[in-house]
Amino acid sequence: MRQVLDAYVHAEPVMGTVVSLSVHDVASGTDVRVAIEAACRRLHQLDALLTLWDPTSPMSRVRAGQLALDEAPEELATVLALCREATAISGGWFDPWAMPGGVDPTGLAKGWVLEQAVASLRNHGVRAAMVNGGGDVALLGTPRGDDSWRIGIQHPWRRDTLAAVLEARAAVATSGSYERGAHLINPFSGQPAVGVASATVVGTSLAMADALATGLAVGGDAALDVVRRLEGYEGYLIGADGTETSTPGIDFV
Amino acid sequence: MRHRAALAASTAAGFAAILALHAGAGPSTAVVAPTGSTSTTTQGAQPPSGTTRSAVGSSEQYGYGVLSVKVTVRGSRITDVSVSTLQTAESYSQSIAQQVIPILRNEVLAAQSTAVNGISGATYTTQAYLQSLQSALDALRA
Amino acid sequence: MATVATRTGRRPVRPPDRKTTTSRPAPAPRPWVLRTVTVALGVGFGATLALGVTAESWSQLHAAGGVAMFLGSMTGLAGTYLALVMVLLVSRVPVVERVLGQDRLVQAHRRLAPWPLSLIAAHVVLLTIGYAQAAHTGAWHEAGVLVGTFPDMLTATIGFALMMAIGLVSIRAIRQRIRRERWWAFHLCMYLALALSFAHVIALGPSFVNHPLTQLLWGALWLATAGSVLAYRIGLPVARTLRHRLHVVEVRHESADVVSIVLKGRRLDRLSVSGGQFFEWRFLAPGMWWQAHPFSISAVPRPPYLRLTVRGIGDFSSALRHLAPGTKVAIEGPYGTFTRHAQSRTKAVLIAGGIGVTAVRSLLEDLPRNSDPVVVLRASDADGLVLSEEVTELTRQRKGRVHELVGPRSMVSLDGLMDLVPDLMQRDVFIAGSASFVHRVVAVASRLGVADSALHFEVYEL
Repeated sequence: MRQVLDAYVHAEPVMGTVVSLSVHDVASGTDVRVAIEAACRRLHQLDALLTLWDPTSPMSRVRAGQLALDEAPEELATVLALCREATAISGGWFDPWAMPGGVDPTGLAKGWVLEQAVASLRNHGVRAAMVNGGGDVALLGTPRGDDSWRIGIQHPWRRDTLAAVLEARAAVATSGSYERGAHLINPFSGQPAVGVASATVVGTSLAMADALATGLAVGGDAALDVVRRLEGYEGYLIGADGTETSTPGIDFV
Repeated sequence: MRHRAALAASTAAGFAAILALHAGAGPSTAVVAPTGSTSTTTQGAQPPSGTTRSAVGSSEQYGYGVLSVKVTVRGSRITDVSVSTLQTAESYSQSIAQQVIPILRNEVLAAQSTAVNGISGATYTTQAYLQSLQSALDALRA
Repeated sequence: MATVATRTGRRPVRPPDRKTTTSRPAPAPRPWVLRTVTVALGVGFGATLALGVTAESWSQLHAAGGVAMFLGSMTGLAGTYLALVMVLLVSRVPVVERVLGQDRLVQAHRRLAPWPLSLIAAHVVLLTIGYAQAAHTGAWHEAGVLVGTFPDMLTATIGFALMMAIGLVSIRAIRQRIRRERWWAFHLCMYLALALSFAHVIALGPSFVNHPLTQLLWGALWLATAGSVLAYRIGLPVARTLRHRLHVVEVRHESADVVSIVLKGRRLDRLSVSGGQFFEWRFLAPGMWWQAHPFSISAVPRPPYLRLTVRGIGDFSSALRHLAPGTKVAIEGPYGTFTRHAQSRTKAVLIAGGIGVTAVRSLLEDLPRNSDPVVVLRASDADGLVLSEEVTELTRQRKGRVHELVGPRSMVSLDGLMDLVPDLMQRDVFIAGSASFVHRVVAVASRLGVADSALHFEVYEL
């Protein structure tokens, strides 16, 4: 049997974190380096459009009212449209418009950008890859010899353990308040959300999973109920007291 | 005084020598800055399936001490995970070092038929463990 | 072979020409040693500091307690390195001692002392604060946690307390109030303090954990220091003592409070010592065996005999007057740079204050014939001019001159040194005596324009 690469790995600092791209399988004739470079270019390009850290970025200016949405690059409209959809399907637990200071699509945008990177890889001949943007994972294909990917979920406060290992085929997003404390705002009360240490959503789209995980971290069990009723998405919660709850469709390994 | 000059010069030389040695040595202790365009590329090799390799993830301050995770891989299978740097700041962290590592090892090892492909966790720019294990895995993947 | 006078009478001892002796002078000091040692110590220090810096990262610095922890690491590394240097300074490595002299090494040891002590104290405080900040608790609580649960920290804390106590007791004001032997015994416990602290560095220091090469090098540094102490402070003196088996054969009263002690030993032809040097003598008699005191030899050894001359001032020196013949003697040394090797010019003037004449007397023997030495003997009364006949004879043999300045200080001053020694600027100036005497003469000589490189002195601690 022909020996193949285990994976070609590249780490790219972007979006305020490090995105790890690992390519596991390619169509013959594909130059992996070219594919990775293209994906990284796309990451930087989209980051420049959407980042709120830079007050001159298109998204910052739209948020501040300095730029009209229909004059901005079309990616912004796409993202904001997805945000509206996510607000609806999450039952309001994810609401970028409830953030102080203006619309904050961060909870969804990162996942969406990573999905675009995966799309870029696919367009360049990659058949199986994992793009991990600081904890949000977008998947393409399957690793060799398996029918799904195994993703470990970091334990929220026991830093050198995994709380669980899940099987996933498309997207895994985790949100939590354990790192920065109370940075998640409960859209219904306007107060910082506490009670959930870590919320993970597995689903078909990373953009949606990202948004739902953010909502789950805020809403806890109530939001988990919403996720349970959603087609194609499963959720897993770790409470601040250590109790774990999940929707029935999660595939724990 | 001549001796003072000699002392100062030799101290500077010793300092510089160690810095140079350190820079030239393993990439495993490099800390990747969140902004900037440095990229670390690990070229895929073709390891024979029986090779055992270890990689140490970048050391990270996680609030209770410094943590760096060492992952040993045989072929493409994780055979051991251990905490390799220990500068713990509290008995709690100490007990982590003593209790949790077996749990981690068992969890990860038991949870695989071949390997955990990736880690998902809440994002923070210098997410200690995430960077660590992920970067360790990335280093081994090559 | 010199005949030794009996106790009942005084007969002048005619010191024979050096050529008939078979004892060897001490090896010449090698000046490059100092430079090499300085560079080596500097490189080591720089490397140690770099170890601390390279173990740090920006993310660690930014985290809670990060800065305090970093500074705590750096002070610990620097302080420990300097503590090892302290030990090396007084480990009496021969090749270094020959160049610097035991006196200057001890002086350097004393002057360096505040640095490692305060750095290590800062290390303890900073790390406690840093860990407390990281764990979000109070510093006192954290201190308890550190000592109680971290590996090797209990022993390190004991070592630290011991080290601070020893440092405190060594402050001059306190040291002078304690009996010398008691202070000395306590001071030696510093070895224990250091040994107790070794392990916690390897177990906890970020530069060392999971860095086997660094651990090895650090351990090698400690081993080398310990080996130095074992070899040169203990091993070499024990070997020499056993080889030469010195014992008292005669105690001769030179004056009311001065005695010469003549020792006999084996293989003294193998003992390399120069005129002007001293040993630390340990007389193995009841009440005396646990103290070692420095006295200069008062004559170059003429195998099988060796002589020292002592003025009885404290309890110990007074007890020497009653030494029984046959008493065994253990030696450490020879030490001292007050020798012919220190000369930078062809001629010399030797100035002795009181009992300082002993070093001058033995140094004189090492000066070649026709070297025209000028010898100045200063004593407060005629009784204080011990060994003057020998000095006169030796000087005459070398075509030199002796000046005896006798009288109370108010009447005799050394300001007229130029009159006594018109060609002072062309001579090496050797000064031996009490600290105040040496200080005064050095001041006079410097004022007259004598270069620092021509000044050599031996301070007698009385």
